[in-house]
Amino acid sequence: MNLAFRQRPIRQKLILISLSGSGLALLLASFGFAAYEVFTARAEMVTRIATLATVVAGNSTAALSFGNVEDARTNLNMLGAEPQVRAACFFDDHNDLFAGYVRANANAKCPAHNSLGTAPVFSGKLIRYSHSIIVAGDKVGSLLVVAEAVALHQRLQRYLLIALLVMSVSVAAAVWIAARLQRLISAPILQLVAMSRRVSAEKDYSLRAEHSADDELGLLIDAFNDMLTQVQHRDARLERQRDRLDDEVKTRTHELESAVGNLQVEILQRRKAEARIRHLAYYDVLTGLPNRQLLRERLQRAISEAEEQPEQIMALLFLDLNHFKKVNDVYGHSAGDELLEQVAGRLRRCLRPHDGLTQGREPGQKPTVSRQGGDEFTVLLESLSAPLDAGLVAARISESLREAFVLSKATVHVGTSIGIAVYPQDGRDAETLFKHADTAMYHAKRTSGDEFEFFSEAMKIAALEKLDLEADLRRALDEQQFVVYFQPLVDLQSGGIVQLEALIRWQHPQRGLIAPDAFIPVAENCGLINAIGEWVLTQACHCARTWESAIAPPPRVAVNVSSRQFQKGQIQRSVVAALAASGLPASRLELEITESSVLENETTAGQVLVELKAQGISVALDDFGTGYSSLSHLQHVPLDTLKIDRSFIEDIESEGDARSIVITLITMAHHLSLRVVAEGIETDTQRRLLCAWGCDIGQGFLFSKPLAADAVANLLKQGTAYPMN
Amino acid sequence: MRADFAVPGAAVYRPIGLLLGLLLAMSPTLANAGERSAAETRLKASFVYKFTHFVEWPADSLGPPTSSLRICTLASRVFAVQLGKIVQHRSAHGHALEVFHLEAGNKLLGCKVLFVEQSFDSQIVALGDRLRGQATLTIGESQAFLDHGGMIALLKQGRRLQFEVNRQAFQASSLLPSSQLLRLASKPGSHNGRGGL
Repeated sequence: MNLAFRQRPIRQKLILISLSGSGLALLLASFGFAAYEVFTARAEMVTRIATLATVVAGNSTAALSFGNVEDARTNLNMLGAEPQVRAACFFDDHNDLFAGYVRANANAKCPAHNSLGTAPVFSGKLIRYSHSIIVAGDKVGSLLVVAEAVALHQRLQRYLLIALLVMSVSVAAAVWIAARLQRLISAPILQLVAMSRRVSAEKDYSLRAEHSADDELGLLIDAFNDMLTQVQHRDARLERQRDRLDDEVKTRTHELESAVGNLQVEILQRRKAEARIRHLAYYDVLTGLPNRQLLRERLQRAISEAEEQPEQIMALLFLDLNHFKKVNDVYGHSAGDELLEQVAGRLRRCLRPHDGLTQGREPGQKPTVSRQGGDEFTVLLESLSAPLDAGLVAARISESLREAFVLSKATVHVGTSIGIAVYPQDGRDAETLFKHADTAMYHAKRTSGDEFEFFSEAMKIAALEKLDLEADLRRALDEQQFVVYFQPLVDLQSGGIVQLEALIRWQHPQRGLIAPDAFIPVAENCGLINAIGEWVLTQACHCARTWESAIAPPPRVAVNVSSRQFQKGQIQRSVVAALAASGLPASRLELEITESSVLENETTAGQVLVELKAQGISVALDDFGTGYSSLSHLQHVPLDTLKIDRSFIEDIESEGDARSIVITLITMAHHLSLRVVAEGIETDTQRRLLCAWGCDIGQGFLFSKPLAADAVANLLKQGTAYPMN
Repeated sequence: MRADFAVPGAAVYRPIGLLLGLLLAMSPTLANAGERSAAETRLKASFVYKFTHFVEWPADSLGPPTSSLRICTLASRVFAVQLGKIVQHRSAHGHALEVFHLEAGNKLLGCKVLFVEQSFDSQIVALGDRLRGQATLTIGESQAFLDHGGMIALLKQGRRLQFEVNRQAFQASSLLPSSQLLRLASKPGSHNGRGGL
């Protein structure tokens, strides 16, 4: 029932609601009115009966007072005239029946005793009403009237009939009105339904429902329209966001693509870098040749292979360029690098397996050319048929490198020294082969220069001799085998001797006079250099003191100082000791240092020299132009004199770079307030040119070779070393 | 007024045997002759009392409400006592009732009701003169009483006690009998007694 009602359309619901409402109201009203009617009718009836009873009773007081039954009965008969009265009875003052009237055919009778109170009693269709009869306050009796409520029932029936009729008509009218009025509610709802269907079907959120009235339905329609507005706005916003997201996705995709591209590029670069790192680990950066490490590995692999095959012959060639250092110093590192690259190229060509030069006489397979570092190269020749085949290759290399190298700045000739060690005869392990090839190379360089040498046992002996030299040096100090020679430095204007450079010589008991180049490096390596340096310094100062009597003003003495002497403040102690021992004024001592000694002790050397200078000692930079000639490094060194290396002076007679360099150096030194000394002057032309360019001092065989101390004294007494003009 | 009846004990009889009297009245069948006589007396006294309700006195004749309505009896002492019991605490027309037993020589002044027992019928004529001009309800026991101008007579017809009314007597007086009283009276309107005692 409830479900059935719910499933009905609103139209029917509204009708049913109004019907049930009005029906219920009518029913209640009808019942109410009916009940009121019954009540009223009853009250009316009671009133009427009471009135009748009062009248009859009033009229019967005497009859009862005087016990006159006839009269009482007569009076009761009067009540009988009332159609509804069924019975009427008088009771005396003891409530006993006194006189009675009963209508014919009435199912009622008078009770013998009246027990009824004053209130009317309804039982079924009958009403019983008792009326007391009182005279002067005394009850003389009572009257009981029994009446039938016939009229009352008739009246009620009639009333209900009319109510039914009115109800039927009302319900019909209500149905009719409700059917009309429900449209006021259902029509806007149906319109709203149709509009929402249309909106969802067309997806058109700009549609709006028509506002019909200002009631709740109107509010509903307004709310619906507001909702549509919200949806429309949201829809638009979503649209915009989707577009923005699309754009962003495109942008991001693009970014991702480019990032992937970048990543691929990066991966490629990294692979290249890794390959480059691998290459760097095993190949020389400059020349692209295998490096020392790769060569060593190949050599060891070759040796382990050779141990399986006894007939295997291998050769290790050790190359050293002869004048590389000079090229580097003169033309700079870039020129040196350029040279090294060209050398590498020529080495590759020489060893190319199908090179015409080999003419089918392939000396070895898998030749490995490597750069050891600096100007040193190594060639590994495997599977040689004979040891001499290595000599052929070496000769070819030597010939090839003897050719001029055309660099961007200059054309240079270098040439090479090659040492050869052969497996297995010269060594069965890589270390020995390297050492022997190196020894052979040094041998080649010292003896023949532009040539190659096979390692020999004799060379091993020469190397051993170096060890003897060390022992001899120690002995030499004790036995005073060293001699100090002095070479004059001449004022190029006056020709007067202004200074003497102390130069050490070793009077070897067996080998004769040995030049410092031959033993100073050995002394530096074995730590004897300090003792030797100190000895030279002492000797020089002592001699210089003796020259004071020969000439006035007495010339300065210059002493070469090795870089090793700068370590641990040795030089300072030596200088102080020598000056103190000889009594020579510090102003007459000049220390000659090399660029390398400054660079090697850059932090301490500058400070040491500054302290020495403070005592009055002057400082000269020796062999300028052969090292890095880096003025930035030298600016911390307190120099007084710049000595231009002899290699530049050699070439100043020809119009060329050397001349420009010397002129520039002189100018530069003067700008820096330095004296300029030209070393190695051998010809008068050189002297005049240097004099013309403003060089201050000259040194060389043109003026004098290094002299013994006593010879110096004689020369000084002559006054001049070289006649000028 | 009491001085008029200079009789010791002629005062108003207060009922003392009311309960007994009532018992007697309600059981008349038990009676022997004496008892029957007592029941009769009681009934007659009751009638006398009740008549006061069915007769209207002139408005001014009863005096102020505080004054009693006096019932005078010219009868046996038994009756007077009996009547006294009945009217005790009762009233009529708003006036308390009192019974006055008349002795010989008593004046009738103030008697609003006068009951004359049949045995005192001899005094009817004299009474008539004395009552003239007074609003007194006169009740007797004989036809003769009515003939002499008495207003109501209690008459026995067999065992029933009835009464007759002398309409002329009422018309002659200023008293007004009720229609019910007239209707109940036996042979109403048939009596042609003279008006007044």
